[in-house]
Amino acid sequence: MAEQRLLNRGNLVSGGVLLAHVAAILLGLLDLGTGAVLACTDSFAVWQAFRIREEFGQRRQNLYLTGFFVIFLLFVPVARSPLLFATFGMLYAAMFRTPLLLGYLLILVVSIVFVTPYWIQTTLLACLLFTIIAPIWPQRTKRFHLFCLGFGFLLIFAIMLPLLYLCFQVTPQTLLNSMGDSAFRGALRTSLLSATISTVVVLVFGVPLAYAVVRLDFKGKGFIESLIDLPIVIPQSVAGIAIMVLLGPKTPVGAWLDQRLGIEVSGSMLGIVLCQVFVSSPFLIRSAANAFRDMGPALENVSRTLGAGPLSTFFRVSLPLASGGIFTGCILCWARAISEVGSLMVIAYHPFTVSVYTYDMFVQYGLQEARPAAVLLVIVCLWGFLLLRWLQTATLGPIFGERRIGR
Amino acid sequence: MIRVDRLSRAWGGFSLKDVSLEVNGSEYFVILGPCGSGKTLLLETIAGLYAVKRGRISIRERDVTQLPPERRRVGLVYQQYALFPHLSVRTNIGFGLRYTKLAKAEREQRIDEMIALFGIEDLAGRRTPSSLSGGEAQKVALARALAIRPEVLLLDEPLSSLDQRAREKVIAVLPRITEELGVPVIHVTHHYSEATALADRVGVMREGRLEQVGSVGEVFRHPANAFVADFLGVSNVKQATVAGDQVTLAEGVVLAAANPQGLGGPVAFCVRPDDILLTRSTEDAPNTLTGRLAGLRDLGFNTLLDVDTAAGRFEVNLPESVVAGLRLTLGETVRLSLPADRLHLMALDKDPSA
Repeated sequence: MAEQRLLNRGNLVSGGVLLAHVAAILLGLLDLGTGAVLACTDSFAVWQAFRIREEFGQRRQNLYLTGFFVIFLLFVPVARSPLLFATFGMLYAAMFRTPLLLGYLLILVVSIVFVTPYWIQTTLLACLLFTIIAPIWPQRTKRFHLFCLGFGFLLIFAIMLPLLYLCFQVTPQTLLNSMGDSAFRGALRTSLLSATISTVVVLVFGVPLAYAVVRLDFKGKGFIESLIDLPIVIPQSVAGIAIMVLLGPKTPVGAWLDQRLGIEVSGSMLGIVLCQVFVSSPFLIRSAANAFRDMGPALENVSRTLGAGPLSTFFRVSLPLASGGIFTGCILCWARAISEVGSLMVIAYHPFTVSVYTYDMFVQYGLQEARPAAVLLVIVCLWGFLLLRWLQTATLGPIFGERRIGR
Repeated sequence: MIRVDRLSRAWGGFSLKDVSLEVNGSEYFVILGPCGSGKTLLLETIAGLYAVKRGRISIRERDVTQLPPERRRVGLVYQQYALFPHLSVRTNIGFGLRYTKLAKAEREQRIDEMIALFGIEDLAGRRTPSSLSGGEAQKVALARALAIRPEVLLLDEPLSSLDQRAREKVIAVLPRITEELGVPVIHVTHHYSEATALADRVGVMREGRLEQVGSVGEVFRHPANAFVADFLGVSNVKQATVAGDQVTLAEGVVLAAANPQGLGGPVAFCVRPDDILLTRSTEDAPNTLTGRLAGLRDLGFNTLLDVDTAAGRFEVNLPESVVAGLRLTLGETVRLSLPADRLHLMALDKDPSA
């Protein structure tokens, strides 16, 4: 085999390039350090060029050499940094035969050159997109779908760029400091507790409601369904004001609750839970309703004829089969409750939830102080969300992967 | 024994109209009907899934019209098996036994019995039913329905999503098992071949109404009207006028036919494509029609011939070997012989939409 011989053309030519550089150093055209590095880079690049021609042919080699020349132009005459050229030239030559790595490298170079202040975030997101696209790209029939993905990814870009940028603005030290702050920890506890209580409340009432709406046909069903979705379209502040108008300390109902039962709605845990239930209920109910609808009535019908009453059928058949969808609903509901802020600021500014606390920090001390709290909130939400997702696939995944049964 | 008496019920745009039927002992009753004729709704109504105001359903002399499904003791099997995907095969079969008075050991024994009856021992260990093939899943669904010893078995197109082999296997075991357990069966389908393979008696349904009920031979030989005839594959349905046993198909085309009902005037007339004989003789004989061969359709072992006569187009079904022997060419003149005892006269269909 040609490439196994020590004295093949590739080795000879790259040796020649090496010798030419050494000669240039000896003649004083290049200083010793730079010269040595460039000599290695160039001879390695040339040696790679020969291997690429053997493997993929002339056209690929031309492409490779053009790319190398562009890098040279970019870093030596323009940026005047032979060392950067050596680094990227070497990486380019080494990675050319592995398209995935080469893609990452190109993204990195482009990011550094064109969007300097945000290059880390841009690189991360672009690499994520590239990782998805690269293996599917050779399938020609999927090109249009990939185009849709790339186009739609701009949206994910718009969402993730500020979040990522925010996360890179704080040091672990400031995070730890904020974490140790008792006010923050209190707020975090309030948030987690209230969101969990809200989710349980919505679960207990929402699941039967969803089941009834799906299984019953009645006049005005569409109207009831829109009532369920109403909190999604109502601005949060309006939700807060509405609850306040009904149950605030100066209203008859609120005063009665306060004086007779000693229950305060505004500025209490109860108020927080009320707000969170208000804004987060549609997510769970919708999700549960979809799960019941997907299941279809056939399984329940069979269960009934086998002797199970409606209650037994619900707990033995419907509920276990819808549990995947209901669990997803719980996650969404919980996440929505954690992130609620608008109505809470109207009804229960204190005790702080994390979301209100972060806003409060911003209003009182400015951007600088609010940043660590905001980052912590992102981390907590993300962890909670991922943990629950994982729990869902770990416990329910295998059985409920395909839920469409029946007619 | 199950008996449905003048059952009527309306859903949004559909209704069951005055349905009466009776299935005795371990009889196998097949209801045939096109899609959307209300077969599934009839089954589900018998199972008790819809409230009924008019009509009466009784099972073994017990009026169940107002009972909820769980107290009717019926077995229901759907086309798509409807196995509980979160339960093992054994638990699926034993699902209904929890609601019987059987002790734990007896339940296990009953499950084993059902497994043996359907010969599905190799599937009994499966943890979820998702890996079962169509035929296997349908056997498990049947075993589950029969495990509680229902007093009637309701089958909603149980063979329609099975491939040919699986269908034959289920057809081979099912009637034997229901016979053995003494369960009457009501089986709805739109394939008339299932009726000929399985049924003791059949009913034909159209738009919520039972058009004809009778033994297989009766219904297939003597359909009550043009719709039934057409749906059961008796494709040569014509308008005619009858006087005594003389049927006038068109001007100058007169055939002799059996007329046991004593019909007169305008009638519908039909003859199965496989009851017509084909000859080349040019000699005029009684009960023959001359026509031009307009088409040959290969059905595998049989060939369907289209023959244009003075009384319109007739379909003739002949074995492929016969057709090959005759060396027929398109456009040639042939003679059809229609035996008088195979010609069937029906009262004209009242429904103008047919």
